[in-house]
Amino acid sequence: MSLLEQPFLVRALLAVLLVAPLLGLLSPLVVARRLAFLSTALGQAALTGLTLGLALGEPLDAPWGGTVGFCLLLALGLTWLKRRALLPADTLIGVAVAFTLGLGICLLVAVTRRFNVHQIEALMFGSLLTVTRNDLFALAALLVATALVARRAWNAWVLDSAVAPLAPAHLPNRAWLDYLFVVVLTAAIVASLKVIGALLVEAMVVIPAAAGRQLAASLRGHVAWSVAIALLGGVAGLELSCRFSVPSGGAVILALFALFLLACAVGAWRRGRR
Amino acid sequence: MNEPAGAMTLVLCARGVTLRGGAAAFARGFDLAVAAGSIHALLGANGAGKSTFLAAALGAAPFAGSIERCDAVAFVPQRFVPDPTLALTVAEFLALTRQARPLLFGTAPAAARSARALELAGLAGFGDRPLHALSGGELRRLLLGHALELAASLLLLDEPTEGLDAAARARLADQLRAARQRGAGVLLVTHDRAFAAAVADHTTDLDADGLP
Repeated sequence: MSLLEQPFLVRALLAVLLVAPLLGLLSPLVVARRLAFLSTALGQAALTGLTLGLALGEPLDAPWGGTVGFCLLLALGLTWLKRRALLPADTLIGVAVAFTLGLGICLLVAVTRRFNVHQIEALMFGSLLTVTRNDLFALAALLVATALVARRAWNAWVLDSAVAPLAPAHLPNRAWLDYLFVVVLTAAIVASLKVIGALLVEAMVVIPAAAGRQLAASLRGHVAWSVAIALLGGVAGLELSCRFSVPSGGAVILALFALFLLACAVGAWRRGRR
Repeated sequence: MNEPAGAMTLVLCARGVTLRGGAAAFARGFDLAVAAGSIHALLGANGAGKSTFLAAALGAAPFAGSIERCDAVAFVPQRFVPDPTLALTVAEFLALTRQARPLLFGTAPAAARSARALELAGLAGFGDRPLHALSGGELRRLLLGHALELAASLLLLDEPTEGLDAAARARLADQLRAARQRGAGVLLVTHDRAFAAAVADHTTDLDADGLP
């Protein structure tokens, strides 16, 4: 089946074309701010939030209250704790992941008495079939909102992560920047769930920057490569998903991983030539 | 900060400051003032609280007492290891604090000021180099050039001569005198007593117990 043969595939392609720049843009900052593990936690929290929403009576086709609410609560709570606790961030996130998974599994068993578990798989692993026009509008709005926020905050986010020792002299309110970034990241992750899936979304925010770093000689190039790799991996994954009838999330990750290996090889070759 | 009646303009004024590091309190109740157009050296043994005081002045460390300072501040930290996770060039590093436009769209708005900072650092032509590939001495000079070009009212410098050769030290001394001349206040945290004696107008010496 070709990508443009069916309306649902066109919608899926449009979703990928919106999700990829969104996550590709945030990806270098996620890596620089050491938030890769938080992205994993948010993906798993989305699953827990989804089941929580369903348990509280939300409809299966729009469980956004529980998903967004729980993910935001987790992201903001962890950021608040990270700024105060003596424990390192990865330990705190590890505790949160364990709690989220435990709660999610208990709730999943409870809600699958009312729903078929296959109906929830779409959000766990990503599904082309479930992308609706409203999802596309929401993604487009989020992409625009993220671009507007990033336009104001991008340099400050970079300063606060890549050259953090200098940040106190230039950024009077670093805590606010920290919270703003996790809110934007949470929104982007939740919006990407139907394409990538809750359990795989972390890869989409880590691999593009990791691959782009192998090829870039400047931050500008790094972000451009990150967005390009996210787009290429997204479209290639969609094509794979259609051809082999596998979940879109898994197919996108496999395509991204192949691009990562290619970028590592090209990067090593380039460095060897210098 | 406002000018106190009948007094010189202060760009930093600390009163009754006690610093905290973990559970310990140190440098109990000390006062320190830096006037515009002056260089003040803060000396003392390891652990006396010199760097922690700078962090407190920047709002990045807890303290008791009061610290007032002007808004336009430039800071050179003692330790700075660039994170190679992001492919940041020297020009992009300088542009971060010199342009509002996101770096994604290039560094043209900051180009003239960045070139001036590189010139002050003695690193002209280094703009395209990866930040993490600079040597320790080059990095220190870059940070000093960055701080000096900002033309801030207050310069907070933590061990600025660390890693500098004799020529770079001499140039830094001249640049600090020039900053003083244009009206900036400089607070210099250092173990380098010879350098402090050569450039500083005032000295505060924290002993090992943190008492001035």
